[in-house]
Amino acid sequence: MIEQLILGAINGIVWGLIIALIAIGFNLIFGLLNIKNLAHGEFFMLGAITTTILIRPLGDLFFWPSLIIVPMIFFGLAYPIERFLFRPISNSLNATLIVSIGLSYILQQVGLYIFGGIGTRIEFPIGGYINIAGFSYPIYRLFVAFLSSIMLILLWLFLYRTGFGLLIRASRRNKELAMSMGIPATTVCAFTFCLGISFAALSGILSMSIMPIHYLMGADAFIPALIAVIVGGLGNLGGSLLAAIIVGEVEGIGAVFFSPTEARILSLLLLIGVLLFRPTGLFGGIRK
Amino acid sequence: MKIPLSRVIFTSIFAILFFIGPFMPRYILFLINEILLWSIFAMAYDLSFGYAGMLSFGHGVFFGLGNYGAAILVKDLRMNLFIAILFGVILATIAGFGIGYITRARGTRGPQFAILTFIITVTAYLVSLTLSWITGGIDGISFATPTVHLGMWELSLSSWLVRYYFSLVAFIASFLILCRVKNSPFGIVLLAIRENEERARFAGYNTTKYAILAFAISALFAGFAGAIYGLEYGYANPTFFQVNISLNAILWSYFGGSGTLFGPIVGTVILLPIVDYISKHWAYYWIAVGALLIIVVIKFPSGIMGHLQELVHPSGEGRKEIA
Repeated sequence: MIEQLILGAINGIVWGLIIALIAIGFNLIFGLLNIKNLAHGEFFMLGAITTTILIRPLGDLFFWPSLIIVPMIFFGLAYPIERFLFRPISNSLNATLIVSIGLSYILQQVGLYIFGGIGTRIEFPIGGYINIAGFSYPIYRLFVAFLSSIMLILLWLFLYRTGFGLLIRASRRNKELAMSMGIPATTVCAFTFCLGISFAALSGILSMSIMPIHYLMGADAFIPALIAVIVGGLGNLGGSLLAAIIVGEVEGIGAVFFSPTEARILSLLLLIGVLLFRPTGLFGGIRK
Repeated sequence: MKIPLSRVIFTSIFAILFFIGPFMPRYILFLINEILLWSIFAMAYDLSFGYAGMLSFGHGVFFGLGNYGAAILVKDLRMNLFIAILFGVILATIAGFGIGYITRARGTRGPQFAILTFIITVTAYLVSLTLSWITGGIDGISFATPTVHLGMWELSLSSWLVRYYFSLVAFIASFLILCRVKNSPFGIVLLAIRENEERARFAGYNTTKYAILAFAISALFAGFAGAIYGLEYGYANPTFFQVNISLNAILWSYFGGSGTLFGPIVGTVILLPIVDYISKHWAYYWIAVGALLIIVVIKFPSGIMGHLQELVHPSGEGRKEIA
């Protein structure tokens, strides 16, 4: 029993870090552009599907370059979406929500069109198992946790230790003021949008061999990520990281005792509890 | 006494619909039937979205609950049709109160509300797939359509004509009640909440209570539409729990003009046949729905009725009702 709990906890951390990549990308976009992008989960799905399709003819080793190439592709694809869909209506929150949900249906169908309706699974790109508490645990999952942490640390360094990160934080605090100081806030916003999307795509690639690849897989990861976003406080980047790990643990340890769907209900109950007792989220709302 | 033009138009449309029933081919009957039922849903949706300003992705839950509530009572317990509808409606209303309370009670509003309903709906769909001993899993449940007992008549809902009249009566009833709700002082307060919730609160209205009540009424009629839909076609399916249903309602009410009395109906009448046609010829028709939604929201935000109102009141009397 103890071993299973430990296993569940480790799975929870891996899962938590995966959804943290999505949640932080979502929150980054929300905090700067005031867009709640409900199509975010579909970029997760498309990242996984694109990589699967690239791997088929090019061989398994192509997984490694695709970790860099595919997020860059989505970085480029995200720009027209921001420019032509979201920028014209950036002053209306309801309109951006509706546009993003419309976009998510389009992207889902695109996924269905290029990938077909049948789900697949791919082998772990790193074979081999490591012995943890009497269980053999796949090394690849630990690698996923490692790489996600690296990416989160890099993002933190980028935001808080570089000049461009300073521009992002300045535009996030007060866009008009930043623009009057000569910061190209519109470009900064577009860049941040693309950055958030490419994080979602990266997270999709990392979870390819952990969950079944399917054109509807977006919701499987996006819903816990959204729960984490609200539990951690909208717009609060650190909060959503912590909340993502909490949600990951709830689902990971919950999966020891219950079915995955019941574990999902458990995290929904967590969300409802947080909403009723701390409506701004566990760690407070937007912290500029 | 001056009778409003819109009332004349609608009364004559209802009268025409009553008389043409027996002379219509089956496909047209089917199409009008669908339009009538989904219009109930769109009107209900617009009470929450267009009036109270609460963008909800969760109305599928209410439609699905009404659908299953009625279906299970008729199929497994062989209950009377009207009790079954009542049961489905009550289930949906309770869910509406519950979700409204959880999401609004502590002051959550605007886009956060939309995200919450989104999370709840997707989870509800997962749950409905898991509870296959009730819901029949992905296939849903199907049953023989029940019979309506009206005095000495016994009308079977398996006939298209009976279905048509049944929907028409349900539609007219919902339409009249919802018009009454939307034109009442209650509806005006909802408009005030949509425009500026802080101000409405300063004016002394308990906006949370109004919003939750509006959401519950909206859920009630969504459940009503779901119950009738299930009984007429003799099936209940978990797909109704999905976000798709709310997406349709958003599209219809936005296109027709959200926050107007007739907008949702106009939108349904125009778009439902078009989307139905596309879906027959193109498997990926959701791309068309999503694209329509985006185009309408970006280029055409006030909808058909909204534009008509601007023509009638060019002075910018806002989105005051025509009726």
